[in-house]
Amino acid sequence: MLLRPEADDFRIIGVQLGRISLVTALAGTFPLAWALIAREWAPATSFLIMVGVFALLGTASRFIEVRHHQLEWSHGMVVVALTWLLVPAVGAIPLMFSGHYGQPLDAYFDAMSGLSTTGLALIQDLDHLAPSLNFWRHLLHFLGGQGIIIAALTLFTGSGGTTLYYGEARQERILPNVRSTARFIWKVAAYHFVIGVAALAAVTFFLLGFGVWRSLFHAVNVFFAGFDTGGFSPMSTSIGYYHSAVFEGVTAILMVAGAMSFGLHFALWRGPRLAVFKNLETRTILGTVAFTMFLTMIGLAAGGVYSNAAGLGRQAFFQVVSAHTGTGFTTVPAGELALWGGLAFGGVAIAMALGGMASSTAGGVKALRIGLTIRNLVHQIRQVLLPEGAIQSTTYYQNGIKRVTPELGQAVMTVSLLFVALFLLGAGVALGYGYGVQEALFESVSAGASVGLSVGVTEPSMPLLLKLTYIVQMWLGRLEFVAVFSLFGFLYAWARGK
Amino acid sequence: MRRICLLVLVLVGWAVPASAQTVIPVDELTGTGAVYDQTEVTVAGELVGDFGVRGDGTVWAQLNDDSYADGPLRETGTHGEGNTGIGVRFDGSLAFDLDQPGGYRWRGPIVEVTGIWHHHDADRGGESYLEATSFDLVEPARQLADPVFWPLWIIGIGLVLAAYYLYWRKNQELTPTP
Amino acid sequence: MAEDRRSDIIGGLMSFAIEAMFIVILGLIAALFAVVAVLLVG
Repeated sequence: MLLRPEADDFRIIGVQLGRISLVTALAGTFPLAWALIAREWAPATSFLIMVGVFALLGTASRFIEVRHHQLEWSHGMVVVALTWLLVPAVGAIPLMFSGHYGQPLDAYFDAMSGLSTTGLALIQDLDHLAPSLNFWRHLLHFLGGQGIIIAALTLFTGSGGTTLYYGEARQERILPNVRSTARFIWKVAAYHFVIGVAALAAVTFFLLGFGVWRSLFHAVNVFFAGFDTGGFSPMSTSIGYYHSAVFEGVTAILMVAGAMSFGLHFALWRGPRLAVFKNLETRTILGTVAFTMFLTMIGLAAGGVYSNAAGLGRQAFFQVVSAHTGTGFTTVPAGELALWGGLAFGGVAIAMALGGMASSTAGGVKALRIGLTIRNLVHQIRQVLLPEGAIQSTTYYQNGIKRVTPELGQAVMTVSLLFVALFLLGAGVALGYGYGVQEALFESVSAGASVGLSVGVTEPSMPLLLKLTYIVQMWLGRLEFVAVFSLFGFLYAWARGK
Repeated sequence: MRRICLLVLVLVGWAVPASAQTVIPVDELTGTGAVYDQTEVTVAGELVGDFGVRGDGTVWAQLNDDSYADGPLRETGTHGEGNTGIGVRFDGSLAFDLDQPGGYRWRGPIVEVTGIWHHHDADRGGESYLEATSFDLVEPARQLADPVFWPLWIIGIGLVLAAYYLYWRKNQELTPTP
Repeated sequence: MAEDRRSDIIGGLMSFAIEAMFIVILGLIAALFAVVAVLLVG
């Protein structure tokens, strides 16, 4: 029987949520400053209100006195799950005040989509949105992708950080403590920010001929959405807006960097650099990217969608990389993507479902689990074929040789199956509303694997229940279930426990 | 019988690319653009985003013909779906009086553009865009207002001050009195 | 301290360079696949 939470448990959760609110208030001052400098007065007021609410929650929580409890595993998980509901709620305030949303739920949908680095959007008339508000949408990607929790861990010391860290779907911890790990994650982001923004701005300024400020505006926003595998874009036509292969190339580098695991970043940074290619995860993702890309290209060629190899190659490459890394940038309109039938549809949908690497901002089942599932299957088959009683061991390489154990196989299978169930849930709801099987499945996988590619189902006039379903899918998919299930368990125990 | 006749008429009308004078909706170009490939079409709408001046002297812009082209959402308050736009490429010499592209501060110029529609252009890596040959300025760009609603400023400042007050109160509590 | 920063700058640049190289290789593979796809079924 679960133990009923005491008042002190709620207090400790409140204190942590307050700290995170303070961090988010701090983040909100960036778009506020932008709006004030650019003299965008209406957005500035809404940012002020948002910062005020976050700050008030934060400072009020300092009055909560925790008596005897320490932050435990369960608290951490509940805090993470609640953070990802609270931050979009307050973060949606400026979006709502902008007048670009039909109803408050749409603004919440976009804030959740931003924070979970999905990129599905219900915004209307994006092309007339204030630049500071556009910046906030993209900053939400950065906050959610780098991890608000990580930000809180960097700023506040205290025990129990580990549980918060794992709650945000990060499994690896390479440096000796969570705080130095968090610092390293920020360092990687900062270096990529400088190089990535410089590269994107150089392309928009020198090749595309945009003005200086507009170049910077596009570069910063596309960086946030690309490096954090988000998928929002400054303009309604996504990356297709730029009409430039070079721009797409730089964006692809950022997407791949975002979908790489923290361990891989660490290895590329400190060395040994080539050892990473021995890892099961790296090899798996190389294999699945190549496989889905080939599938998509065969499908597009068979459908006669593009007249030559150059068009076919460039468009399939970009769409598959965007889908596989869980970004959701696109260079073809949603209406056209919906017409990609057969293998092309299959290739992109599978790429979305598989996702990036563990401990990255990408969603989906993730490469390490795919690799392990295959290894586990091999292990099982060998077991069957070998004479009874023969002991065999199957190993894999991931930062060292490791053994495939039944427990590991089971854990991997459970999460993979949960993802499949999540994809089917969303598809089922859309089917119930009369959407076609293909589009229902595509959009559901896109929401559950926090990708953001759309075939046109996600639009302001979609049914309310479908909006709610996608919100839940984005929330569950980004946190990889455990934190959310812990929250449910906590609430259940509160209601029924002794 | 009449129904069938109508259907045939509609299908024929849809399949045969319209003459240059008829304005084609952008939706049709992005959805069934292959039908219009390499033909002369006319589209009308607002130029938004940026006028990107490339090294070869051509300019790229985005043309939207959604419900916000006439009056941006912020101005009219009429909600609809997302934007619908296509890329337009034109020679720099055509852009004589276009002024500002549409954005937060500007409702961009409303133009009627005639040009060749390139669907999945093989020379440009499969991009689709309109290569403009002539521009008609229907309505020049105009500046949009940025109305300030004072009560919201007061609420915002009030919230921040309240947060600061709590911060200060707690710090007072924490500082040991001598 | 200065040495740390120097190794960080080198590390940061190196990792970005490897990511760029990765995209170039992936792009080449994509080009090869595209040609194969067009030849096979196009």
